[in-house]
Amino acid sequence: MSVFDFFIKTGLAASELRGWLVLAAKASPDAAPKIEEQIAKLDAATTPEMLASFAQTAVGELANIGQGKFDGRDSPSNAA
Amino acid sequence: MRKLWFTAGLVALLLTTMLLNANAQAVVKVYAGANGIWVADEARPADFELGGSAAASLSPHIAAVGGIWYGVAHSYIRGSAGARYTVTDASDPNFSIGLGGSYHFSSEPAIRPEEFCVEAAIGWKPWPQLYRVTLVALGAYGLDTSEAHMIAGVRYDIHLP
Repeated sequence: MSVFDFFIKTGLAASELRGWLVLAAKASPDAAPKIEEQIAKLDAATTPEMLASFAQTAVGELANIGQGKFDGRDSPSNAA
Repeated sequence: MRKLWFTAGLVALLLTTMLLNANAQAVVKVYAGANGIWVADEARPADFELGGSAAASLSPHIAAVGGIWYGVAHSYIRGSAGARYTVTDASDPNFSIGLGGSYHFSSEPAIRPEEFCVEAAIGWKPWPQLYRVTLVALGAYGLDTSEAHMIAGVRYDIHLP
């Protein structure tokens, strides 16, 4: 699988998640504004340009991890 | 089944190493939780799952992640181990989106296939007073089966000593 394939399939996974978020927003009008905000962030993060930018950042961070330099954060999405 | 225990052991070893390394600035989290899981086009049955997950954040954006789940209706054990990259503000502890990939293993491959999946995940702490509670949703795409599945659930952060 090429890097290009990986990006495309990551986009498919994101599309699946997006579809469910749209359904959740329709089912829960109270939470809809927050969910729509999350959908917008997901859309912005999964453009090809952004994915390429993330890949660049990841290379630098992987180099630090390889040297044993850890600098973790509390990202809620890691709980999923 | 052997593969399942091997992968679970690998995840446990990774997390233990992180915890024991006093100089590490990794953020290690262990969660108990519950999921609903649905497969696109109803190719496989949906289920309600109980279990737990763990994450070791190694850099601002990169984390090792894993989890083990029991399917209540179909009596299977499902797990995953992989890596995730945070694509939103990494300094926001209340909301993030992550992209990545995990190897999924299962005691019942006919119900939950064993394969590598790419994933998109959202985590959201909607109630600041309940800071240990995180709502999660995850979309995954299996590279062997070309099937998509979706998980929506809740996690409770078990504070480590």
